Amino acid sequence: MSYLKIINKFFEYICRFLVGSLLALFTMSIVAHVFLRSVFSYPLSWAQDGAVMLFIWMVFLGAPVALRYRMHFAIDLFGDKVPRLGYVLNVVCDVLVYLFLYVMIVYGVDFLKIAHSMYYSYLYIRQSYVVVAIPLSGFIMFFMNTENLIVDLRALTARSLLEDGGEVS
Amino acid sequence: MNDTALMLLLGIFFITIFLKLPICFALGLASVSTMLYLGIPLANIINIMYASLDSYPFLAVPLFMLVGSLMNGGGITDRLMNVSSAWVGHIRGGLGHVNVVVSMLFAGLSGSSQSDVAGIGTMIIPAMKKAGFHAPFSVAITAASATLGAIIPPSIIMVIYASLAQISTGALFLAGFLPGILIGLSQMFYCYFLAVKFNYPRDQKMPMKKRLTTTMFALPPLLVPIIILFGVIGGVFTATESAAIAVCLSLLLSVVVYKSVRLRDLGAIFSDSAVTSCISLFMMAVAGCVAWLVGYLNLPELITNYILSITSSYYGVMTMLILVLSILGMLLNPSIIIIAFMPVILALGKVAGAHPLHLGIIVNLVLALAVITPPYGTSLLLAAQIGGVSPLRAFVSIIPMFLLAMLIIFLGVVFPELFLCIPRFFMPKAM
Repeated sequence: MSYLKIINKFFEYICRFLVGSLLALFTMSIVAHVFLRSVFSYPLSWAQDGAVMLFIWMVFLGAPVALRYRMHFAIDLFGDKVPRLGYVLNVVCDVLVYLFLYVMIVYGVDFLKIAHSMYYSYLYIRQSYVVVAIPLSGFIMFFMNTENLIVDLRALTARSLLEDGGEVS
Repeated sequence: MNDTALMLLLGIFFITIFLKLPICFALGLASVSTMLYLGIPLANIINIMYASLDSYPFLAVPLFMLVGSLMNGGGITDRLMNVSSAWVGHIRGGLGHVNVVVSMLFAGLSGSSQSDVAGIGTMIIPAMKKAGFHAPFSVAITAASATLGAIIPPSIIMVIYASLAQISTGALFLAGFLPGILIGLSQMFYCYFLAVKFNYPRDQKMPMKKRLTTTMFALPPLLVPIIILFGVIGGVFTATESAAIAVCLSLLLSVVVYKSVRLRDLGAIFSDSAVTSCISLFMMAVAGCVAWLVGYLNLPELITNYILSITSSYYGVMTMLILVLSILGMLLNPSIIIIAFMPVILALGKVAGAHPLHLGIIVNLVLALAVITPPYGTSLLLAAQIGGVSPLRAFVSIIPMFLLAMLIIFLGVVFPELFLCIPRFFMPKAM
């Protein structure tokens, strides 16, 4: 197994564990808030802020897992009708994904400086602790996308070899 | 300059999605290039992505998806199917009617069409094919009835719409009831018509005692949507809180009452549901950038002026709105359309003079049908895959049911009270 696959497997394990736990945690915080408000008239003022923070982290940690398994919605107009074109488009798309990941990482770090001076009203936690999920997500997706790109390049070259009458190893 | 930027935004978006680039990245790249052209600092993209998700109502999206997964994994779908079979299985075209009724019941639990197809379709499509129903029709009625998941409350797209349009979620939920039932009945009517034409089979009529026993077994899950609805309507909790409570009730049912989900499987169910919901949510975060640019470039005013140059009548504007949303629905996810084009939708509603709640329910109904229109009809594609039928054949079979649903939507345009009477009765203050 290549180093990249090992790294991505590790990232996936961590992300899957975290997104499941974050979902469970914010569900519990909302239920606790409703229960305490309805039964004891004692609402948890921080519960909404807390749940939203966990939710944002969940979204940006789940996106890399979806990218690894190519689960993000795409419209396939050509299907299997033009296989060669399909392989080329896969590679083109992987390269285009890098452009957006670059923005997520570089400008995400930039925005962190601004978000560091802003606070959540009830929890009094710096917003940068939540915004940091965006560049981090871009960073993990960079590895996931590289794995996809390698697979697509291999598929493209294998296809070319087959069409040229060569053998695929 | 604005025209060129608008062309750039839409041009790059459509070119890249036709290249098969995932929609979230296509939205992102279109926003990045437009912002670069306009000289807007790119750090804004990060700010908008963050701000788009910094919304308490959006937490309902993963929660309702989790409820769907727990219900599917917990054998609750089987019980709902047995109830439907007991009451409508004996009508000509029995399994077709069961398909529609179970979707209506499941709609009260899940909130999305895809979980409806995934949960019910895998069971009922093979059963329908085995019983002698045509495969494309089995796929079509499964996908068409799954649209009820987004119409009959609770509904994820309604939560998103209500939070962005600043209308009452409970009232919008209530407004979805009658059209949902009418669309379901129209599908049953069409199924009956085909059953007579092609001599589709039916089940034997169950004795009343057995019907009641079967219903009793499925009563606990059927109470979940009632608790959710009354909680939201009565102002006891918000839509997001109702979704969290629905998660607890589903856990209680599947782990403790029915014991069909083991505790050690819960980790996988939670993480799978979270990852699945992240697909739409990540897209929604990026779609926020497009929505911001749409507003910045004054697109609502441009479209409103354009439509006003063609027609200014209520019927004309509403028809144009339905047409535009249907075309967008062929390419985009309903929640993305709501987020990116909300300013345009609200501007057109204002021009038409439609009641905000009436506009909301019409938009949600049209967008609920987007999941069955190709090329981006996710429910249709999923059902076609389960049934082993080409999406094109499935689409041809679904056209009559799509047209019947459209007819009901237009009835609602002509007679607004048809959709507004229930919320007006239960929540007059929200009107």
